[in-house]
Amino acid sequence: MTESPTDDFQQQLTAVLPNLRAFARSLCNNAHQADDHVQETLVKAWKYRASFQAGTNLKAWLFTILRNGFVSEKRKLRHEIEDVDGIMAARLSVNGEQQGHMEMMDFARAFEQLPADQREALLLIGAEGFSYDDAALMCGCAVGTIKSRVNRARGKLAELLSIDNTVTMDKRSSDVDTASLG
Amino acid sequence: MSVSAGRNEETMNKKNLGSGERGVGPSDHESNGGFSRDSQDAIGKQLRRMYGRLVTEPLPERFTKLLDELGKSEKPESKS
Repeated sequence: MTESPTDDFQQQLTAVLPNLRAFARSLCNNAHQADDHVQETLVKAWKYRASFQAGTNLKAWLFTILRNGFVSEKRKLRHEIEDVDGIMAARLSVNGEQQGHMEMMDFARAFEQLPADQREALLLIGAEGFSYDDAALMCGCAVGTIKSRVNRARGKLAELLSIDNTVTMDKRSSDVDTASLG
Repeated sequence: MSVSAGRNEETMNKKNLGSGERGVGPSDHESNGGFSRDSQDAIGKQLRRMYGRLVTEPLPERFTKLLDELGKSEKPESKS
C-alpha cells in the first residue's frame, strides 16, 4: 500500500520540528518551558490536522499554533510579566554608565533583552526568512507592525552590540524611546 | 495607549498595501531607521548563527516518542 496521509503528515511534522523547537527556544528563555510549548503544538497540530490545507505552508501553520500558545499563556500571567517588563525597562534606562558593559554583551544575551514581539518578528523575518506578509498573518497584525518591530529589534541590537555607532546615533535613541513607550 | 509607537506603522502599512510586492525588497532596507546595510548584515549573520545552533541541536526523545504515539494513536478516517 502507498503512504497514508497520516504518515505523510507525521513526516512533515518531523521535518519541521527542529525549526519549531528553535523558534520556541528563541522566544522562551526557559528551555523546558519552550519544549512544553513545542509538545503542546505537536499535539494540537495532530488533533486539528484535518484543518490544515495540504500544499500550504505547514511551518507557518505550526509556528502560528506555537506562538498562539505563548500568547495565551502570557495573557494568563499578564501581571507577572508586566512587572518583569517594568523592571527590565527601568534597568535598561538607568544603565547609561554601563554602556561599556553592553559592548561586551554577546548576541544571544542582547537578543534576550528585546521585547518578545520584536524577537518574534526578527526571528520570522531574519532567521526563518518568512515574508513580511506571512509574518503579519502569523502574528495577527499589520505588515507595517512587523516591519516596525523588526526595525526596532535591529536598532536595539545595533545599540546593545555597538554596531554602526556613528550612522545610527540620532535615529537610534529616538527609536529606543518610542519602543519603550509602546 | 501606544499612539506614538504607531506613528510610522500606519503609513508604512498603507504604503505596503498600496504597492503590493513593492514593499518587499530594497525599500525595506532604506526604511529601517537609518541603519546601514553593513550593520543589518552583521546582525542578520549573528542572528542566523544563533538560530542555526538551535536548529541543529539534537531533539529530545520526548518528541520522537510523541510523534510515534500520535502516528499510532488513530488513523484519521479509520472509524468509517
